[in-house]
Amino acid sequence: MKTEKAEDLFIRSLDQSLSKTENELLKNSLDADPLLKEQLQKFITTRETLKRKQPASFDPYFAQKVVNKIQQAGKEIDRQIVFFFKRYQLAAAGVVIALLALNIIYAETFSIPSILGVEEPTTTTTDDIITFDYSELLTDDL
Amino acid sequence: MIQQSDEDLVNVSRSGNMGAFKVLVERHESKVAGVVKSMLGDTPEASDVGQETFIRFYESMDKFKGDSSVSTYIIRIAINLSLNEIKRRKRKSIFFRPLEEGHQVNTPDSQPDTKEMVMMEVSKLEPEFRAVVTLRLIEGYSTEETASLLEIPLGTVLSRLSRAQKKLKIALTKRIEQ
Repeated sequence: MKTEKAEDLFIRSLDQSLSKTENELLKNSLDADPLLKEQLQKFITTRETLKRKQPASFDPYFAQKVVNKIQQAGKEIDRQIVFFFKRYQLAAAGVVIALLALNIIYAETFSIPSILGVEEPTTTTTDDIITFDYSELLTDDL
Repeated sequence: MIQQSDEDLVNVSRSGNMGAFKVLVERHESKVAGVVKSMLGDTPEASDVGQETFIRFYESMDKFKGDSSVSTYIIRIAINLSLNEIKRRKRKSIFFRPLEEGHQVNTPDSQPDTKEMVMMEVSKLEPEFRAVVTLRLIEGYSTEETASLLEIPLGTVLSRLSRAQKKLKIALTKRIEQ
């Protein structure tokens, strides 16, 4: 069997069980070539070297630092919420003022119904007065 | 005193009890430190990523449904943040300096020991290989656990492990020959 194939099988054997045939193939290759066996043994050495021997940790008071950060961030979020609403309140106030100004310009009135957009009751215009036929009134009286 | 389970601590933490959350952090600090430091090296950024991991966990606690263990959930966050940090370093290195790896680069005066040498080569692996090596070979998770943590198929874990080990072998052989 080729060295590369033996290497593949050997690496795989470290993480999963091989089939019976694969096991035999690998065993035969290793038995036939002591140098290959020595070479492949290096994979085990590397893995052993990599394995963590002692538990890792961060700096002292790590947990407390995390808690402090969360609490500080909480305050920040509160501030952001207040800031968010202040900003939008200002924008909303600006829009209202602009609408009022437009209303005064176009409607030429400052009445509550016109500000609210409620239609005002129709009033008699000058055209109505002009087109009114007064002669009818006179005839009826007679 | 009976030790509270992670799930109980999460439930208590949800109500705003920071004491319970602190216990969770202390309980999982070592695992997170192991993963993050293996991925990024023992650097100040590693500690920042560690803190960020728990902050993200705190923020997403309401989404935690218990489909996986608390530990798995936290390690997933740690791995993802570490991968983001590696990407950020890469981007930074394009503009600033060519070498921006977490593990210390030794001067000719100080020869690294075998462990340092191997770790240095691990830090040069591409992020996806580094993640598999970190979880399986350094932290000792099983291949199934590694697949679950990285949310990739078992076959991918095995092939990445195989390729990573071959890459390490080539790199270490070159180093020894130098």
